[in-house]
Amino acid sequence: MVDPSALDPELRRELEAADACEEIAVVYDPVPEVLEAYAFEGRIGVVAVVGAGAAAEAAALDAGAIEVLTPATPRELALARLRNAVARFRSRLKLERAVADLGREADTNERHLRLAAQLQRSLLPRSLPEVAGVRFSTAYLPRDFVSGDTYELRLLGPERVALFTLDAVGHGVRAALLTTLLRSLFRPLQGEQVRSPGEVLGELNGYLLDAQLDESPTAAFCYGLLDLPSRRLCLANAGHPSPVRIRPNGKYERLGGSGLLLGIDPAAYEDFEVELEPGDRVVFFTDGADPVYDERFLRKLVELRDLDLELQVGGALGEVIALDEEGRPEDDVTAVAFELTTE
Amino acid sequence: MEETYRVQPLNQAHGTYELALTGRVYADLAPGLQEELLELVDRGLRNLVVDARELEQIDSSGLNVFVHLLKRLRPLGGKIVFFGLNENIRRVFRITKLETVMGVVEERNEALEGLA
Repeated sequence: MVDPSALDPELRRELEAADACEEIAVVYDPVPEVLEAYAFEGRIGVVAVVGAGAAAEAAALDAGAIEVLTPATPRELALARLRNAVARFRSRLKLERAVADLGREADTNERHLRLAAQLQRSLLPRSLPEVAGVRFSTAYLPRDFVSGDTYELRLLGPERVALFTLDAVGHGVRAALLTTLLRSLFRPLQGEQVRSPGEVLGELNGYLLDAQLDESPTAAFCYGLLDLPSRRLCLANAGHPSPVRIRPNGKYERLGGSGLLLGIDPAAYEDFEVELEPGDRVVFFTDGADPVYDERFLRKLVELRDLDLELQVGGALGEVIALDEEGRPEDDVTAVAFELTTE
Repeated sequence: MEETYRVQPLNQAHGTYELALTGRVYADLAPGLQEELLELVDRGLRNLVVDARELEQIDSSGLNVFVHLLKRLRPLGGKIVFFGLNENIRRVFRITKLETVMGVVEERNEALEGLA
């Protein structure tokens, strides 16, 4: 049995001081169950003082003691081992706490991102417009929880449909916030009057420039205004892939040109107008659908033109979207399509 | 091909640097590249020649690095000129009209002349 009063006075004082700390316990001749209980709990490091004998020392270490001393351990060596063991255990605790904090922080961030994603999705149209003579389909695949893309599909009275796809340059929360800002600033009407797409984009560009936001937020934006009685589509484009028109016979064409991305310089955005035919399909899409700008997505759309609109767009996206190692799209992907029916 | 970039001074008196891009410049690479370039602006970078001969793809995060850099450089009288863009990336510059606010040329000597 170890008699603590028989230990070197300085070692005894240091053992008492260590034992007074909440994360350290000094125990004399412990039975294995006591050491195992401490080891299981994990937040208290045990310094065992055992009677002489390698077997007793080994048993204490096996049972989870962070250090084992004996009355026979030379004084200087015993002091050094005690101090080192206490310092090592404290470092380990600190590291474990930091890891736990990081884990909690990551959980909180993930919860916030999930909430942000829900909020962002809640801004999207809840249902597709139901109007005679036209059918719609949409696809929205964020790369992360939140997306730098968004879209709109909105009836402006009984005869017009406003639709846009928007790709905030960059990814993640910053780009997602920019999509939200631009959605909130999108004003297709002036009172009861429908504004031209070019005018609407010019105004959005002005907002971004005037706001003088940090990090130069920039966005590609394609806005189309479909007049149903005349089947005329008017669109304006700020640095966005041009929508594609696919005719029933498989011929396809890009609609309109493009202007400068929003948020870089003052710019005028031209309106482009085209009269569509019954049976025509038009697809607006962000560059995530055409990752290397090689028009493979367009060719796939043409190949699948005999399918229903939704299957055509979904099928073409499935063929061309690049996925990363975790199976996520390498970029945000959005498509909005409509078909002028022959009914 | 590994994603990478290398930036080095060409003419420090004029604040001219050359940035060589290789592979793909995507969201994972963009923040580090942006930070390094903006630090160089603080240390005197005014004009940037971008060697894009080995650049295979660039996404919108990558493009935004150069838009942001351009906004920092223009008030200081600086420019960015790309050379050696492949056809797909040229198309990106054409669609976004970035070719109207940054220089896009074929050869390195044209890029250097564009900064003169």
